[in-house]
Amino acid sequence: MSARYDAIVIGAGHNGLVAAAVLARKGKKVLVLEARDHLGGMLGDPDFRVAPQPYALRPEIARVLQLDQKRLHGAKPVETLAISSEGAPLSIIGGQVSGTDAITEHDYATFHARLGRQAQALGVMMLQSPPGLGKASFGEMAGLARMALKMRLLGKTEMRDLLRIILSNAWDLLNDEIGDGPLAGVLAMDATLGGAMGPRSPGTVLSLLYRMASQSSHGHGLRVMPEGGPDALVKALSHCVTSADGEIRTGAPVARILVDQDKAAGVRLHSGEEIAAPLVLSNASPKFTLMTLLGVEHLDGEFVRRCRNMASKGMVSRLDFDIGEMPPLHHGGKIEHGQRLVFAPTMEVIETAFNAAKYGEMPERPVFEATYDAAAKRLCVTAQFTPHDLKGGWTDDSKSKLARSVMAALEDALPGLSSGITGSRVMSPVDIETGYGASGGHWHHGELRVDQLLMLRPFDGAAQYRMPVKGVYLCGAGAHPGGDISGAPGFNAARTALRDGGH
Amino acid sequence: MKYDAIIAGAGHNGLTAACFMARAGLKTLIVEKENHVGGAAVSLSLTPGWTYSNCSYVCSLLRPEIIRALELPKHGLQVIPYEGGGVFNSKGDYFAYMSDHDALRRELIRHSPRDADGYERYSRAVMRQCKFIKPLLLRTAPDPASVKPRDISELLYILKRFHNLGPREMAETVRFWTMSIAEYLDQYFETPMIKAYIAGSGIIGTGLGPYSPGTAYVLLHHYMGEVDGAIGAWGFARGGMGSITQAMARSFEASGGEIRTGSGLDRFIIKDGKVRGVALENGDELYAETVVSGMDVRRTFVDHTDEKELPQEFVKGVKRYRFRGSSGKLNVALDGMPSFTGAPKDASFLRGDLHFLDDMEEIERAYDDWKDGKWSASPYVDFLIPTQIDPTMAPPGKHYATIFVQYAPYELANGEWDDTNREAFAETVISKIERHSPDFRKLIVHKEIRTPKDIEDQVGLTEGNIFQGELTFDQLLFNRPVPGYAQYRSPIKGLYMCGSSTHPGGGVMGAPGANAAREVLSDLGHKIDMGMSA
Amino acid sequence: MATKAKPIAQVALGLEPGPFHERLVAHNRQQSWVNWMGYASPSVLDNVEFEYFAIRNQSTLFDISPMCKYAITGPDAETVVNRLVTRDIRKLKPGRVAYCIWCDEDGNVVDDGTVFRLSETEFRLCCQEPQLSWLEDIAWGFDVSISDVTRDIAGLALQGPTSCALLKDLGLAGIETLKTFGIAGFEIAGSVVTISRTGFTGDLGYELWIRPADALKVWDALMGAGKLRGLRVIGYEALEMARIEAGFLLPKVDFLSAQTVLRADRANTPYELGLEWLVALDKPHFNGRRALVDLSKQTPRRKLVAIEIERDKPAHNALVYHRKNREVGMVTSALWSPTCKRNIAYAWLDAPYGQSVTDDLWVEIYLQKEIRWQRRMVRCKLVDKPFFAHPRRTATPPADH
Repeated sequence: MSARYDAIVIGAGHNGLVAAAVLARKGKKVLVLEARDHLGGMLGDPDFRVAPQPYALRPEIARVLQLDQKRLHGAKPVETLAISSEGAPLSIIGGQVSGTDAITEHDYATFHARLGRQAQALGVMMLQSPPGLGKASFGEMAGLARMALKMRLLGKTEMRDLLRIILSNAWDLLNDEIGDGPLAGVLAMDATLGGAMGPRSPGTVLSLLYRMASQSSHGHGLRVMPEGGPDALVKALSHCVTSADGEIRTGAPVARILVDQDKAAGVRLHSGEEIAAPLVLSNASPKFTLMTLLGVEHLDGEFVRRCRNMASKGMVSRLDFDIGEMPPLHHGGKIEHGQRLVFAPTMEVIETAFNAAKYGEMPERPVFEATYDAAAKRLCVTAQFTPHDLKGGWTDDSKSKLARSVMAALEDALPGLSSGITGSRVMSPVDIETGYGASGGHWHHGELRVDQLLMLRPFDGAAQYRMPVKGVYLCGAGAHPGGDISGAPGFNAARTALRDGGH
Repeated sequence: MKYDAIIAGAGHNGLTAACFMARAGLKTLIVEKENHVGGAAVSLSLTPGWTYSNCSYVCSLLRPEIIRALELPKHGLQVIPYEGGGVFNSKGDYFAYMSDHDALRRELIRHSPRDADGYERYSRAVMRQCKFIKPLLLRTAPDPASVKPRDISELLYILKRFHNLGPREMAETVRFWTMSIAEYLDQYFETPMIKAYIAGSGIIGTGLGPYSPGTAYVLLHHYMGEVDGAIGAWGFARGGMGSITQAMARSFEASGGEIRTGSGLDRFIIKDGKVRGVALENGDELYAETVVSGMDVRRTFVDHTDEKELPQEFVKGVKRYRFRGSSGKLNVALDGMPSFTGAPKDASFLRGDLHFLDDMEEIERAYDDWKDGKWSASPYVDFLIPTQIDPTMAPPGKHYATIFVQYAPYELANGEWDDTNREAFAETVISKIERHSPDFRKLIVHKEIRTPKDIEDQVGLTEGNIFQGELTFDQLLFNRPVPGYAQYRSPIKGLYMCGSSTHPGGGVMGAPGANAAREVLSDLGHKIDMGMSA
Repeated sequence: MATKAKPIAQVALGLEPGPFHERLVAHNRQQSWVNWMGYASPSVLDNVEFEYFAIRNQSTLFDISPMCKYAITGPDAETVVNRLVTRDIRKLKPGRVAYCIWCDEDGNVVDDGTVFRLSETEFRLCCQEPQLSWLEDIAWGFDVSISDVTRDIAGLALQGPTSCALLKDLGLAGIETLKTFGIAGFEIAGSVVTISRTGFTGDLGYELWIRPADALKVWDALMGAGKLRGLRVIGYEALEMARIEAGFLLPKVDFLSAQTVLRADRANTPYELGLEWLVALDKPHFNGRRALVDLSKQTPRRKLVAIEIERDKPAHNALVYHRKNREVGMVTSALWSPTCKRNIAYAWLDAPYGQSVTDDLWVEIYLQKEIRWQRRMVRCKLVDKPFFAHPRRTATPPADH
């Protein structure tokens, strides 16, 4: 086994590709190994994407990787339609809402701007390695100090406000600021989508701020679809790897990370082939990486316990409906390509859906987002609060039940829709788990909660990307700063590995 | 009449603050609306021969430093520890908590050897957290947005204590403060009934369920009490909770303080942004340059202060402050000792807190009912019969049961808290108990029902919240009650807050009162010796 | 319905009787008991001095049933035990016992105990503190089963110079060939008994592992045969004296388990405890290995040392000083050794004392003489462990006395 590679990246999800690109551009000979036959992980499968709705890649990363920012971020921000049970939908783009009264519009704009500033103050930590507890390096402390300074720069009132709301729930905040309704429903979806918390769960303001901290050239908190869709982003990233002499192999699932003398030695594929490299970065979830790929025999018992205890209960199912043409909305208006339709008329409806999910039951009334892909003639639905640990298990029956209840809600808003459907597919959290090495089927590889953020992400002792075996790194959403399509975990992990050097 | 200081409300915090101020030599007056002192720490007799702890019923959080400094034992306070506690499940089994460590271990092993082991790890983890937080209770929370030397040094003090925990414990602390009690307990236990028994402490008085993040901290809030140095031990106040406030009142009077009961407050008299005294409902005006309110923050500033005197941001903060009472209570006079089908008659754990639960999901579902504006169909019940130990509260051979009920909403989604609904609420509770104690119902001689609405009306706790406001992070530490006003001072010069709406919050702890007194006295230039350095 | 259920009796409060309790009660003329894991364990039966000398002169019986015992069995048992303890357990052959320690991820000692290798795939762990969840954490992901067998096995320590002769009298063929740390199966009074040549006294001795149902039968047989060999039932206090002389550490007295400390800095590493000889850094990964690799390169921040103190008053709970004025440590266990005629103790000394600075150390002893307390500064010096070592402990075959 001769070391032909300086580094192996397991998984060609967007974080894996970002990590590989960063390493390759620093002259490392990189091999990316992807189990599936397409790149991009949850973004990538053109037939059935787990995440059809990318947030913007951090502009700093795009800059470092010299990606075409115009193509990636140039498109106009995605418009969100908040579907309400009665009346026309609200249209929301960032801090702008229309379709409601002037006072609400104004209140919302002010509120959104304030949240945006607060989110940005916290966002300073996004491209920083989180500080080690009790043994932080100077650089890490400087990162924290920058965040503290940014918070102070918000001014006394906004800083105090941030410290008040940071651990509280979206329910109270939104009720205080804008009142319950479709607008609050959209924000509460942002605060809970992908996670296992309802709007009333303390901590959901933080996940809302987390989403708001995402950035594009249009500003913070805006969703942008790259020109050419998710494929364009994946293609750009993989090109970044290959153009720097990195190799990418698909259909090459890794069975084990090889360890020699407590150091990474390479990987063994399911095929039995062994590939040597002194540096292994894993884009898979922490649980899968540590307990399946690396093996508990290399880890201390307490470390394994913390890994097992990590909260990563997936809640999201994906449904695709094939449809030639979208019918108009019940209350008038055409659905356009790329628009995001949010079916969460109130926070109360979301909370009620969560009630069922927390007991492993399917909510009677689903809450979900839908996007119409005109090119593929497909309505892509992301349904929230469909629990990974569904009582009775995820059977064909439970899947079609879910499809029926989603369709019923769609039909209400888009009369005549169901008659146009020519085919449908359902991907449960269990499917996501088995398909993408994401334990619990969790989008973010682990719940985005205070006890699993920063120096505690994914868990105490495994933060800062370095795993106990030298040369093994986590570079996926399970690592700081977490999920969504920011590229930050991959970027930070690769930079940490480069800093550690000497492999 | 002119006083050095007037305290509005003779609850345990008002009394505590008043005691410290009187001891510092201030001519101090307490005005109290009711005809008795005590607030939510009272013992009243509603039926001849019986005395109830009408509201609060556990004495463990009351800081030992305060008990000593105010010489409460000399003035009649005696605290007697619980002998155990337990939970009955619907399958006829129970988990008995016993203070005898070996017996407890045997009981845990009876259910699961793994849980016996887990309990050791769990209790040490909680103990470590208690050790960390306890010294913070009798300190004023620093304002992180302030650059005053005092705030910065206090912030550094906390950070240093945090740092001294070491890396592992620091991580544990962050998790403990933010996790749900359910997830926290899942790390240590596997027996559903045992988890449910402990989880109860994480939700008592809150508007959260055991699955809600942040409830592990609430557990700590109930655990950091102690009886004679035994951390986490709970106790009865001999003669009911009123004996605490009675002892305080005697201590106060012994220091020359004056109490006027039956003197409801109309408003605080404010001139030129300064407090001048209080105006009573009967029209009397009493004057003092220092006025301390033991009432919750909404009563103090919305009901009794002219809004025009207050900055808008502050008013907004006060109005936003969340109460959302979630607890009810039944006090029951019993003709004899009820029996429990699950347990032997003489079981020692009956002399403690009893519950009727299968698992944490049952509590969470009880919480879901509350969210929907209903009282829980299968409520979490904290059931105690103090007369097994305390001979003063019922005639010999008769008993008194205090039954705390979680959850009951302040406002019902369908209807009002009228007599029919109050009776129906009590019936829900009694029939739940009856399932485990078939003779309970027929032993009832008299009962007092307290819904959150009653608690508000009769005790003056807004929306019936037993903590004078929810214990969620947005209302803790420097956020309690309003960011920027978490150091007992209000925007009005001379007007202070000392109720449980302030840091460190509710429970019969006395810490807010003592802390407020310290701030008042320091503003008045008094040398502060609260006798609490030891 | 709950109403139809029969009440379940409450578990016993207070101390529990162990498998030998009936016999212990009869011998316990002092009626003094201590709590050992909830069991009534005799403290002194009649006279601690006589009991102590019986350990060094004849033979003694002590009930060790309350000891925590775990069975670790299955195809991965060796891997799991090797992952648990710091010694290289692959070198432990079936039928042998090893004294071991195990550490947490920070390299702090969790507990010490003895590992019995009963076969290729069966191990038994004997220790002071409950370890079930710790073992389960270590074993997670491996093909092994872990069970608490504390109540399934009664234990007796038969210790003293005549112990081998006594067992031979009972007809235990081949007992004299059992080497130190060896295990073998025998029959006493028709009951199967596993015997290991182990103990806590530093003397010739055995530990007998018995089914609880056979406990009293075996006890009676031993007591019968013991009449000719001076066998004496002893309590905890006499054993404690022999334990200190023999150089063994006692958890909760000399050090705290890393699992039980409330203050992070109270836990101890093997290097601080002077147990580095038990740490095999070159074996495959085991719990705490990475931390121990780092610790092995550092100077321990404190060290547990054996000291000998001038004059004859034991230094219980004493503080240790350098040059009589600087407080540098404290005594954990102290004894006037009746056999060695030395005033001995274990003490924690903060670095550099006990490491690079070893002279001019003093112990502050408080003595009560007819109610009045007197303070005495007495010189002490570092010495090697054990204080008592006799060749008969390891001699095979052992002599008859």
